[in-house]
Amino acid sequence: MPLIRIDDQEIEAPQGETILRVALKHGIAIPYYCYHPALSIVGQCRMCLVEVKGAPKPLTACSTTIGTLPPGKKIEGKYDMVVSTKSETARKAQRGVLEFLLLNHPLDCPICDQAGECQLQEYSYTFGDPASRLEFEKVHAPKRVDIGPHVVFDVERCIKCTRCIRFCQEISKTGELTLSERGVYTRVDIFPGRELDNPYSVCTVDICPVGALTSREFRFKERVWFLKSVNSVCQECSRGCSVRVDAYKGEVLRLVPRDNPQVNGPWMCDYGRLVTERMKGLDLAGRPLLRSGAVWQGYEWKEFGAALVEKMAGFPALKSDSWAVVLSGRLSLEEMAGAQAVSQAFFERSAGSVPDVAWGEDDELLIRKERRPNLMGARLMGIPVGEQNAPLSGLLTGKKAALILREDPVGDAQGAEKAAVETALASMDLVIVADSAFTDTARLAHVFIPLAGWHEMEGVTVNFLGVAQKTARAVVPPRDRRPFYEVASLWLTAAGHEAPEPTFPGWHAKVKESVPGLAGTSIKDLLPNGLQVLDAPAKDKVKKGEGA
Amino acid sequence: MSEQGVAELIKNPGFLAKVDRLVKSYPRPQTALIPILHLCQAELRHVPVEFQAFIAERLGLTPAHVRGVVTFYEMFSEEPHGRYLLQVCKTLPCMLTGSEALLEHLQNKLGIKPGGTTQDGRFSLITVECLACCDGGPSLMVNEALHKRVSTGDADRILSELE
Amino acid sequence: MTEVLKLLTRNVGKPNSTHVDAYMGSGGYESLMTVLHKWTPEQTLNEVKAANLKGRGGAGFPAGLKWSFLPKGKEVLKYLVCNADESEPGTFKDRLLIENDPHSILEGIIIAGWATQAAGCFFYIRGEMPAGARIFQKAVDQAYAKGFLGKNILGSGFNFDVWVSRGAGAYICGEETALMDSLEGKRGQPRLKPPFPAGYGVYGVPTNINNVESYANVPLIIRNGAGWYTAIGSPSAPGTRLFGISGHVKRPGVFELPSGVTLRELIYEHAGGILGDRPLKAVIPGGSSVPVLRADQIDVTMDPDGLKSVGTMVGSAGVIVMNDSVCMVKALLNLMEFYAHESCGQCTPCREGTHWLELIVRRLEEGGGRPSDCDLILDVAGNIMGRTICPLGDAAAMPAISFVQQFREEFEAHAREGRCPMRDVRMTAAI
Repeated sequence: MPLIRIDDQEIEAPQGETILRVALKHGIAIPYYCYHPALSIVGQCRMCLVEVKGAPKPLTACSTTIGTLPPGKKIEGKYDMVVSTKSETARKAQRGVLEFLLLNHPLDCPICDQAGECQLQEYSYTFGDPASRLEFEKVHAPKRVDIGPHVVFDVERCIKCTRCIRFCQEISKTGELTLSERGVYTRVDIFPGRELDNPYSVCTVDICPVGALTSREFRFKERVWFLKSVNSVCQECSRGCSVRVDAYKGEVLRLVPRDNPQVNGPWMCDYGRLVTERMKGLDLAGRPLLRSGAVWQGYEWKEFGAALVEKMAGFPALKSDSWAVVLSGRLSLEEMAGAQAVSQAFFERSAGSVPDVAWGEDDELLIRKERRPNLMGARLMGIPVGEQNAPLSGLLTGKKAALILREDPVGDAQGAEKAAVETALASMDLVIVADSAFTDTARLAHVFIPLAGWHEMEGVTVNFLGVAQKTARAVVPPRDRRPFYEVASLWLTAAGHEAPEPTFPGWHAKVKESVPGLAGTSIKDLLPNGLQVLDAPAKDKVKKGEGA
Repeated sequence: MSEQGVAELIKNPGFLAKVDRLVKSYPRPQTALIPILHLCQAELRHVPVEFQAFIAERLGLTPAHVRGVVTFYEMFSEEPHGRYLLQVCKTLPCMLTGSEALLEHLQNKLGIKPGGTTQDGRFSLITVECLACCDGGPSLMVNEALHKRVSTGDADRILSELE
Repeated sequence: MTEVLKLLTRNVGKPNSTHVDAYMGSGGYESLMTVLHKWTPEQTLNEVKAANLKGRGGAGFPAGLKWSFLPKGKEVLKYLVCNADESEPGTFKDRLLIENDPHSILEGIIIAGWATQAAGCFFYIRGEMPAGARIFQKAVDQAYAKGFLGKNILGSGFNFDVWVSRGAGAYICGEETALMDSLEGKRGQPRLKPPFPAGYGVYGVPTNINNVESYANVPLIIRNGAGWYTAIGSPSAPGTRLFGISGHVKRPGVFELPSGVTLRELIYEHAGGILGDRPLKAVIPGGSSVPVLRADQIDVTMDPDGLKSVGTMVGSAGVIVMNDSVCMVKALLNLMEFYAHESCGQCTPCREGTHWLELIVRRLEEGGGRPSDCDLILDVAGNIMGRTICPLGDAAAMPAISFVQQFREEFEAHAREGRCPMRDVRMTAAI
């Protein structure tokens, strides 16, 4: 392997690897804009110019590859390449490029959404020249172009790095964007009458190194330095993209993909990201409710366990097979464990089943038609998964009682199926619904248990590839909504059963007993990119489970 | 007018046959894009976005790609120019030999600035970069006809001979 | 006075010079027949290598050596490109050959095809030369009819095609990889190198590209031998060159001369001296991209060594002459407008820097210049130089730097006086 030196670090670097990748891997900062690890290399921004010994001029670190010199020709007798990223030559080149980039940039940072996470700002701070020589009228361009349903384009701020164009060509393969015109009037452009409208369009905002592309949903919401961020997992399909959840004052303002090679790379879909919009206007019940007749009565959690046990005692005729238990692929593993324990204790059966809700099609990039994030988790927990899109009315009809967790069979159904579910539920003696919103199904319940949303709690989900990842609490639930595992502890204890601590670690320990792939692991092992838990025996088990 | 023009053009069998011939005449169809855009520019005196969308589909390219190409090359325009496109070379050798006076004369004569078109739609005046006939400066190209050493008197004569 | 040679220009001015029969009447295509019937591809390539034919597009890279970079053997698909995108200001020699003797270029191309065992050649001609494109296409058609192109050429078993393709108005497409992108129906944006065209050219196929004049030399080399060829001109650049002279000379035009001719002779003898009988002020000796010379620097030979001695280059051998009626700031402004207009816009230093240079030089010329502007021009140009993807950045920076260095006093006078000191001088016109 070639031996190179970058600044004062000696590095053994793979033949053919670029200087920039090697430098980044070894913590050596080289400024860049057009380079992106998941996109083709174009060398257009010229920001990453470095000094390479023996080269007549500075070279772009992004496109210069490492080779091997013959034994007699090694630099200083041993190096195949010697690179300076901070020498006077390199710095002069970098400063020159930066000055060019700022020449026609509007410098409207005070009103720019990218401020605080802008690479132009960052490098100007690090490398820029405090005295400006840019005393000419700038080339002006439109400031607000709605180039797509979710993306707004400020043409003046664009530095023509072409990441967005390459994203649309190489990743989404939709090709909406191009460079148009030329010279200083060169701009990123869209075909007249068309839109930047593909399932991944907001990724262009993520990769835009400046404030040229902004998210219509997020722009002007909040200065990024006020955001509170946690690492979490998107729950909108069985891919389970690794995300960062940015929140402010109890509201989730945006989801940003975290680069996770084994799950989603650096991307995520717009649908998953825009869960922020779907969260708005949900009817969030604040506390546990019991209904008698048409009257709902609210409870404090500390009284609720006893009240629930008492309520159930009112139906002594309900036997194990009177119950329909509908679990959900939206439950975390810990919640599933809680549901299993509750089923065991109160209905004398191991658990209910999980519906496999699917719509749309799998695409070639990330999107999965299976819309529940933790179906694989259910399989690993030994919970049966129903046939895809099987009507839930079949499960409910003829039963006298139901426990429905994180599913809304009424709200999600239409036509005859909806009527059938409504009829089935209406004829039951006892319907217990637990969900993060007060759904249409909840309206037909006798007991409603308000659950924390995925963004308000810790929990582990396993994606379709068998990667277990952990969600985190991005916001404190605005009202006292709780994960189902906490509810399970409460419920079990109130009835005199043994139960783990009402905490995530308490129930996660329980999960580890059921999922072999998690045995001997700690929660830390799940961070930041998750853990493959589908070892060979587990895979067999899952297969058998599916057959059954 | 242009929308009608392009709608007719992309249905014209003779034109489409030319397009197909170009597509087949190169090792790969994509090479025919620029020649086809030339055809359209010659027919319509511009390459409207409707045509860009049409040819993109025909060649299996994205419309954005075609637009990027059309706006890159000086000989393609998205707005129609006049029947006669007067192209005055403005680059150094022609400037040294008198292109500024030639341009000024044409501006005054036609009452338009570079980039403009006379009201009757006959003449458009533009400046162009080096036409590779520096020994013939100042040079003037009228549509595809190149005129060398064009004095203001020559320019008058050239224009008067046009319909 | 050095005698004007009639080698490359042997057919210029003859009746019907563009017709294949006229060309064949004076020995045309005999070189092709020689190599197809008597020489192996390797012998052919070696002869051109031995002739040390230097590329005539501007960079002066040895053509035979370039051919040898292509992968060998006819099993490997390879293309040639003939760069007929002549658009370097001051350069108009290729137009002369294309419009007057297309078959000499074509014969050179086919011989190069044989030497490299390529499948065909793209002839990429400037969009602004529609007549040249028609003439060359006709020559290609005639060559097909005579069996010099197509399948099994002259019974040799060699297949070779030529495709004529027009540009559409972009100087940058004269850059070899921008040209290839243009051939692929794209914006003409130069590619990052490596990979080089010999490994990854048109459609990603190994490709060799040469200038029109380079190919036109090939039949002469084959017919007369490398020894004959290297005896002409200077050893560092054998053969004749087509020198184009324009601007303030009495007889502008293309002159075919051995490369060792001096710049003074070229201007004062062949081109008839300075227009308006005024003193010479400045000369750009090799197309607008090379450093400018002052009047006292013209006693040099027009070859790489001679011009290097005064800090400039042969480039495309397009000589632009300026007499003392020319304001150098205005002349540079014209060039800066050109490069800013022709920058493809993909890479930062060229896109922004050429525009900035134009603004600074315009400010000077229009009277708003500052004393520090000379240094600003040098610094901005210095920040472009060597920092771009393709040579256009250097091509814009070199004139900027050299104009300021060679005529600094005139630039400073603009700033000092707050106006163009030559604004009342009427520039000599040719008409």
